[in-house]
Amino acid sequence: MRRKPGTLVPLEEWILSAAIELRRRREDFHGYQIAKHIADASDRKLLTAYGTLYRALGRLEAMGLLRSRWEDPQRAADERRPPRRLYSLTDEGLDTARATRRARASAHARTGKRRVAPA
Amino acid sequence: MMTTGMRIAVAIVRAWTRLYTWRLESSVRDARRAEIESDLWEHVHEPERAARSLDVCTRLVLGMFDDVRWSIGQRSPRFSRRAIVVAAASLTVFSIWWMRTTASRVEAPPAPDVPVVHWINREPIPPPPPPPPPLCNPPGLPVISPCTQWPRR
Repeated sequence: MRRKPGTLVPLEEWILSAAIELRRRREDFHGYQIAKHIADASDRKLLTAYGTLYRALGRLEAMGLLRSRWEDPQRAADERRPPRRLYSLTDEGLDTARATRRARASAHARTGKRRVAPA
Repeated sequence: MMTTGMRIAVAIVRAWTRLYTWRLESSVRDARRAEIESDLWEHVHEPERAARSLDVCTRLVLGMFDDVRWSIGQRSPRFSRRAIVVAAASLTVFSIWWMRTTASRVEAPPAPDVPVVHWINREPIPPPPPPPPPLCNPPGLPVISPCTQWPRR
Protein backbone atom coordinates (compact mmCIF):
# COMPACT_ATOMS: atom_id res chain seq x y z
CA MET A 1 0.00 0.00 0.00
CA ARG A 2 1.42 3.36 -1.02
CA ARG A 3 0.92 5.87 1.74
CA LYS A 4 0.50 9.60 1.69
CA PRO A 5 3.26 11.41 3.56
CA GLY A 6 2.44 11.88 7.24
CA THR A 7 -0.39 9.34 7.29
CA LEU A 8 -0.64 5.91 8.84
CA VAL A 9 -1.85 2.74 7.22
CA PRO A 10 -4.71 0.96 9.01
CA LEU A 11 -2.47 -1.61 10.68
CA GLU A 12 -0.29 1.13 12.15
CA GLU A 13 -3.40 2.81 13.52
CA TRP A 14 -4.48 -0.46 15.08
CA ILE A 15 -1.05 -0.93 16.61
CA LEU A 16 -1.08 2.55 18.13
CA SER A 17 -4.59 2.02 19.40
CA ALA A 18 -3.58 -1.25 21.00
CA ALA A 19 -0.50 0.43 22.43
CA ILE A 20 -2.66 2.97 24.24
CA GLU A 21 -4.77 0.20 25.73
CA LEU A 22 -1.72 -1.70 26.89
CA ARG A 23 -0.16 1.50 28.21
CA ARG A 24 -3.09 1.88 30.58
CA ARG A 25 -1.95 -1.32 32.18
CA ARG A 26 1.43 0.36 32.69
CA GLU A 27 3.30 -2.27 30.81
CA ASP A 28 5.48 -2.35 27.74
CA PHE A 29 4.24 -4.73 25.13
CA HIS A 30 5.72 -7.22 22.74
CA GLY A 31 4.74 -8.16 19.21
CA TYR A 32 2.56 -11.11 20.09
CA GLN A 33 0.60 -9.03 22.60
CA ILE A 34 -0.15 -6.49 19.90
CA ALA A 35 -1.26 -9.18 17.45
CA LYS A 36 -3.50 -10.72 20.08
CA HIS A 37 -4.95 -7.39 21.13
CA ILE A 38 -5.78 -6.48 17.53
CA ALA A 39 -7.41 -9.86 16.95
CA ASP A 40 -9.47 -9.58 20.14
CA ALA A 41 -10.54 -6.02 19.36
CA SER A 42 -11.78 -6.98 15.93
CA ASP A 43 -13.28 -10.36 16.90
CA ARG A 44 -10.92 -12.21 14.61
CA LYS A 45 -9.40 -15.59 15.22
CA LEU A 46 -6.38 -15.09 13.02
CA LEU A 47 -3.51 -13.05 14.35
CA THR A 48 -1.68 -10.50 12.23
CA ALA A 49 0.95 -12.14 10.04
CA TYR A 50 4.52 -12.18 11.31
CA GLY A 51 5.99 -10.25 8.41
CA THR A 52 3.23 -7.67 8.31
CA LEU A 53 3.26 -7.07 12.06
CA TYR A 54 6.99 -6.73 12.60
CA ARG A 55 7.50 -4.67 9.49
CA ALA A 56 4.81 -2.25 10.71
CA LEU A 57 6.38 -2.13 14.17
CA GLY A 58 9.72 -1.35 12.57
CA ARG A 59 8.16 1.45 10.53
CA LEU A 60 6.52 2.97 13.60
CA GLU A 61 9.83 2.83 15.43
CA ALA A 62 11.60 4.47 12.51
CA MET A 63 8.93 7.19 12.50
CA GLY A 64 9.66 7.84 16.17
CA LEU A 65 6.21 6.79 17.39
CA LEU A 66 7.44 3.69 19.21
CA ARG A 67 10.65 2.76 20.93
CA SER A 68 11.88 -0.70 21.71
CA ARG A 69 14.27 -2.47 24.03
CA TRP A 70 15.15 -6.05 24.79
CA GLU A 71 14.09 -7.27 28.17
CA ASP A 72 16.56 -8.53 30.73
CA PRO A 73 17.79 -11.91 29.45
CA GLN A 74 18.01 -13.16 33.01
CA ARG A 75 14.29 -12.66 33.51
CA ALA A 76 13.56 -14.54 30.30
CA ALA A 77 15.91 -17.31 31.36
CA ASP A 78 14.22 -17.51 34.76
CA GLU A 79 10.87 -17.93 33.03
CA ARG A 80 12.40 -20.42 30.58
CA ARG A 81 11.39 -18.58 27.43
CA PRO A 82 13.07 -16.49 24.72
CA PRO A 83 13.67 -12.82 25.55
CA ARG A 84 10.99 -10.40 24.42
CA ARG A 85 11.46 -7.22 22.46
CA LEU A 86 9.38 -4.72 24.39
CA TYR A 87 7.81 -1.70 22.72
CA SER A 88 6.47 1.46 24.27
CA LEU A 89 4.88 4.62 22.95
CA THR A 90 6.97 7.75 22.65
CA ASP A 91 5.41 11.14 23.48
CA GLU A 92 4.95 11.76 19.78
CA GLY A 93 3.47 8.30 19.39
CA LEU A 94 1.05 8.99 22.23
CA ASP A 95 -0.14 12.21 20.62
CA THR A 96 -0.51 10.50 17.25
CA ALA A 97 -2.33 7.55 18.81
CA ARG A 98 -4.80 9.86 20.59
CA ALA A 99 -5.40 11.86 17.43
CA THR A 100 -5.93 8.63 15.51
CA ARG A 101 -8.39 7.34 18.08
CA ARG A 102 -10.35 10.58 17.99
CA ALA A 103 -10.46 10.47 14.19
CA ARG A 104 -11.57 6.86 14.22
CA ALA A 105 -14.21 7.53 16.87
CA SER A 106 -15.68 10.37 14.85
CA ALA A 107 -15.61 8.28 11.68
CA HIS A 108 -17.30 5.47 13.58
CA ALA A 109 -19.99 7.86 14.81
CA ARG A 110 -20.61 9.09 11.28
CA THR A 111 -20.81 5.73 9.55
CA GLY A 112 -21.82 3.47 12.40
CA LYS A 113 -19.55 0.82 10.98
CA ARG A 114 -16.79 -1.01 12.71
CA ARG A 115 -13.48 -1.24 10.91
CA VAL A 116 -11.92 -4.59 10.41
CA ALA A 117 -8.30 -5.01 11.39
CA PRO A 118 -5.93 -5.88 8.59
CA ALA A 119 -4.38 -9.37 8.50
CA MET B 1 3.56 -30.22 24.88
CA MET B 2 3.68 -29.44 21.19
CA THR B 3 1.95 -31.63 18.66
CA THR B 4 3.83 -32.92 15.64
CA GLY B 5 1.96 -30.53 13.37
CA MET B 6 2.89 -27.60 15.56
CA ARG B 7 6.53 -28.68 15.64
CA ILE B 8 6.57 -28.79 11.85
CA ALA B 9 4.88 -25.39 11.59
CA VAL B 10 7.39 -23.84 13.99
CA ALA B 11 10.25 -25.40 12.06
CA ILE B 12 8.91 -23.97 8.81
CA VAL B 13 8.63 -20.48 10.33
CA ARG B 14 12.18 -20.73 11.68
CA ALA B 15 13.52 -21.92 8.33
CA TRP B 16 11.78 -19.12 6.46
CA THR B 17 13.05 -16.55 8.95
CA ARG B 18 16.58 -17.86 8.50
CA LEU B 19 16.18 -17.66 4.74
CA TYR B 20 15.03 -14.07 4.44
CA THR B 21 17.44 -12.82 7.09
CA TRP B 22 20.34 -14.66 5.46
CA ARG B 23 23.35 -12.44 4.87
CA LEU B 24 21.79 -9.46 6.62
CA GLU B 25 23.78 -7.41 9.07
CA SER B 26 24.22 -9.58 12.16
CA SER B 27 22.48 -7.21 14.59
CA VAL B 28 19.42 -6.85 12.33
CA ARG B 29 19.38 -10.55 11.53
CA ASP B 30 19.65 -11.70 15.13
CA ALA B 31 17.05 -9.20 16.32
CA ARG B 32 14.49 -10.36 13.78
CA ARG B 33 15.15 -14.03 14.46
CA ALA B 34 14.89 -13.51 18.21
CA GLU B 35 11.68 -11.52 17.82
CA ILE B 36 10.05 -14.22 15.71
CA GLU B 37 11.28 -16.86 18.15
CA SER B 38 9.69 -14.97 21.01
CA ASP B 39 6.43 -14.57 19.10
CA LEU B 40 6.35 -18.29 18.31
CA TRP B 41 6.93 -19.18 21.93
CA GLU B 42 4.20 -16.84 23.14
CA HIS B 43 1.78 -18.16 20.53
CA VAL B 44 2.46 -21.81 21.30
CA HIS B 45 2.30 -21.29 25.07
CA GLU B 46 -0.71 -18.98 25.01
CA PRO B 47 -3.07 -20.14 27.78
CA GLU B 48 -6.16 -18.28 26.51
CA ARG B 49 -5.94 -18.98 22.80
CA ALA B 50 -5.16 -22.52 21.74
CA ALA B 51 -2.60 -22.27 18.98
CA ARG B 52 -3.04 -24.45 15.93
CA SER B 53 -0.36 -25.29 13.43
CA LEU B 54 -2.61 -23.98 10.68
CA ASP B 55 -2.72 -20.56 12.38
CA VAL B 56 1.05 -20.44 12.55
CA CYS B 57 1.38 -21.40 8.88
CA THR B 58 -1.26 -18.88 7.84
CA ARG B 59 0.50 -16.10 9.74
CA LEU B 60 3.67 -17.10 7.98
CA VAL B 61 2.23 -17.21 4.47
CA LEU B 62 0.28 -13.97 4.77
CA GLY B 63 3.39 -12.13 5.92
CA MET B 64 5.85 -13.53 3.38
CA PHE B 65 5.50 -10.63 1.00
CA ASP B 66 6.26 -8.17 3.80
CA ASP B 67 9.17 -10.32 4.94
CA VAL B 68 10.73 -10.15 1.50
CA ARG B 69 10.15 -6.42 1.19
CA TRP B 70 11.61 -5.86 4.64
CA SER B 71 14.60 -8.01 3.78
CA ILE B 72 15.26 -6.10 0.56
CA GLY B 73 14.90 -2.81 2.42
CA GLN B 74 17.51 -3.89 4.96
CA ARG B 75 20.13 -4.59 2.33
CA SER B 76 22.29 -1.90 0.77
CA PRO B 77 21.27 -0.79 -2.76
CA ARG B 78 24.57 -2.10 -4.18
CA PHE B 79 24.02 -5.50 -2.62
CA SER B 80 20.43 -5.57 -3.81
CA ARG B 81 21.44 -4.89 -7.40
CA ARG B 82 24.14 -7.51 -7.21
CA ALA B 83 21.76 -9.98 -5.63
CA ILE B 84 19.17 -9.38 -8.36
CA VAL B 85 21.77 -9.86 -11.10
CA VAL B 86 23.10 -13.04 -9.49
CA ALA B 87 19.57 -14.35 -8.93
CA ALA B 88 18.54 -13.60 -12.54
CA ALA B 89 21.69 -15.22 -13.94
CA SER B 90 21.23 -18.27 -11.72
CA LEU B 91 17.61 -18.56 -12.75
CA THR B 92 18.53 -18.35 -16.44
CA VAL B 93 21.24 -21.00 -16.13
CA PHE B 94 18.92 -23.23 -14.14
CA SER B 95 16.12 -22.80 -16.69
CA ILE B 96 18.42 -23.71 -19.60
CA TRP B 97 19.77 -26.72 -17.75
CA TRP B 98 16.28 -27.83 -16.80
CA MET B 99 14.96 -27.46 -20.34
CA ARG B 100 17.91 -29.39 -21.78
CA THR B 101 17.58 -32.13 -19.22
CA THR B 102 13.85 -32.41 -19.67
CA ALA B 103 13.96 -32.23 -23.47
CA SER B 104 16.66 -34.88 -23.81
CA ARG B 105 14.65 -37.26 -21.68
CA VAL B 106 11.58 -37.04 -23.91
CA GLU B 107 11.48 -39.86 -26.47
CA ALA B 108 9.73 -39.52 -29.79
CA PRO B 109 6.56 -41.58 -30.06
CA PRO B 110 6.81 -44.75 -32.24
CA ALA B 111 5.98 -44.36 -35.87
CA PRO B 112 2.54 -45.66 -36.85
CA ASP B 113 2.24 -48.94 -38.83
CA VAL B 114 1.98 -48.80 -42.60
CA PRO B 115 -1.74 -48.60 -43.41
CA VAL B 116 -3.26 -51.60 -45.18
CA VAL B 117 -5.54 -50.58 -48.02
CA HIS B 118 -8.32 -52.95 -49.00
CA TRP B 119 -10.14 -52.68 -52.35
CA ILE B 120 -13.81 -52.50 -51.77
CA ASN B 121 -14.93 -52.59 -55.48
CA ARG B 122 -12.62 -54.69 -57.62
CA GLU B 123 -14.31 -53.75 -61.00
CA PRO B 124 -12.33 -51.14 -62.96
CA ILE B 125 -13.79 -47.70 -63.07
CA PRO B 126 -15.25 -46.95 -66.58
CA PRO B 127 -13.47 -44.23 -68.54
CA PRO B 128 -15.14 -40.85 -68.66
CA PRO B 129 -17.29 -40.04 -71.74
CA PRO B 130 -15.59 -38.18 -74.60
CA PRO B 131 -16.15 -34.43 -74.73
CA PRO B 132 -18.89 -33.22 -77.13
CA PRO B 133 -17.77 -31.91 -80.55
CA PRO B 134 -17.46 -28.16 -80.95
CA LEU B 135 -20.51 -26.02 -81.82
CA CYS B 136 -21.56 -25.86 -85.46
CA ASN B 137 -20.80 -22.82 -87.54
CA PRO B 138 -19.47 -20.55 -84.89
CA PRO B 139 -19.62 -16.96 -86.19
CA GLY B 140 -16.40 -15.86 -87.91
CA LEU B 141 -14.99 -19.41 -88.10
CA PRO B 142 -15.02 -22.07 -90.92
CA VAL B 143 -17.57 -24.87 -90.90
CA ILE B 144 -16.64 -27.71 -88.56
CA SER B 145 -17.88 -31.28 -89.01
CA PRO B 146 -18.95 -33.19 -86.96
CA CYS B 147 -20.32 -30.52 -84.74
CA THR B 148 -22.87 -29.85 -82.03
CA GLN B 149 -26.01 -27.96 -82.98
CA TRP B 150 -26.60 -24.60 -81.33
CA PRO B 151 -29.24 -24.83 -78.68
CA ARG B 152 -32.66 -23.58 -79.90
CA ARG B 153 -34.38 -20.82 -78.08
